[in-house]
Amino acid sequence: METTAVRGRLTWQTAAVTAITRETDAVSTIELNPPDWPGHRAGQHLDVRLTADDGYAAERSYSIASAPGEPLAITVQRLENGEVSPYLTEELRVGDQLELRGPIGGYFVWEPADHSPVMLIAGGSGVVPLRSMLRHRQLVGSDVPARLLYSSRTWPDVIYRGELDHYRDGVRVIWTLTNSQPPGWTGYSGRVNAAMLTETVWPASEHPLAFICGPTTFVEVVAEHLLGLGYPPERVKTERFGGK
Amino acid sequence: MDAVDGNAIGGLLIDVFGTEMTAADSTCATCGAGRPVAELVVYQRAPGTVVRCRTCGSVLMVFVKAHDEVSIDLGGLATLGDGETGSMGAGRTWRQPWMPGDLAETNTEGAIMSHEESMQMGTPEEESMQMGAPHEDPMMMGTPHEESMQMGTPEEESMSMGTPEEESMTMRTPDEPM
Repeated sequence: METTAVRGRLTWQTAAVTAITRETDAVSTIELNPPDWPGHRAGQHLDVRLTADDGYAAERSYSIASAPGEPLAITVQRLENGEVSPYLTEELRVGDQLELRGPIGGYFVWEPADHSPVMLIAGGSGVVPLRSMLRHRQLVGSDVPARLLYSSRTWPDVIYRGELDHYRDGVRVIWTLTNSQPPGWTGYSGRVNAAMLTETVWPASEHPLAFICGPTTFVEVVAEHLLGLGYPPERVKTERFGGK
Repeated sequence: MDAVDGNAIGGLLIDVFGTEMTAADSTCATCGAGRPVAELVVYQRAPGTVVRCRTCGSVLMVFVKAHDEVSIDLGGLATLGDGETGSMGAGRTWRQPWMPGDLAETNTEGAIMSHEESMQMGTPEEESMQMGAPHEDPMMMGTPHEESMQMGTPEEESMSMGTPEEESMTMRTPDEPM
């Protein structure tokens, strides 16, 4: 079945799971070791395929969580009644194998050569490709100023909490919690809205480049507000995950 | 099921076109709106994927997977791809969609075909393939997964997949916009 990869085409390959890190109750980061990985760009995703004993196959796309040059990793949120994510987050073990293909995507991608200030805005697991961008920025020693506005339901739902908390040197992380806030909470509360964006995003006059990722409704609301703040449409890149 | 966007079908598009397509430009044949494929509205419901214009909601592309084949309908697009960036494969131009010979005579003015310069779709296997005449033999190309791509003329679509209106009726889920 496996054939030589044809240039420009995607070939399924079997990767070994080399590490699994629990990020939150429902979210895990899975490190993979595909035999033939050409390298990826920050913001890209890959496809995972599970095949049942009876031949039924299910494919899903997952954002790549690691930076280019790091071991390949995806971060997966368990969706209730999901076909694929419960297996990936609950049953998969280190040493297991997983069928994947990638990297995929050329639009929702950040390159350090773009010197514009970066405005990253995430809803829930939409933070995953943005985390790849932040790590990439760090690893290449970029001094591009970056902000991440990250909306989660509760503090325990925040993915990469420890890591994001430690960014300094030109990175500012702004949190908002929509459902409940811990005692002494100093971040924002509630959904991302026009007022919050006005206070937190780079002004359009600084020619920022924005990446918005999250549930479809979240992305569309935020993108609309950014356009209202004067961001040109071509500087607002979006990726929608669908329903919550 | 909520819509996602064109980013989600990056892999499918590589299957079909042989190259990265999410950053490619598209133009709606109905309203003329242009935007990157990544920004189009996508409904994924096996076995079909429906891509709609974010401005007017028209169906731009339909992909139906069955028995390891992907049937595709690009009838709602005026243009796809950006010749300047060569994002669809430099130096390869398909001047006509694939079509059965007996239908070719009547299908030289389709929306896709009228923008030949923008339709530079390359496949690695078919170096510098140029389809200039409307009398080409039927073409079926296998992908590495043995999927054949069938790009239809409007008549062909009617035969195999229904008209665009019929498709949108059968594909639509209750929460999808008209």
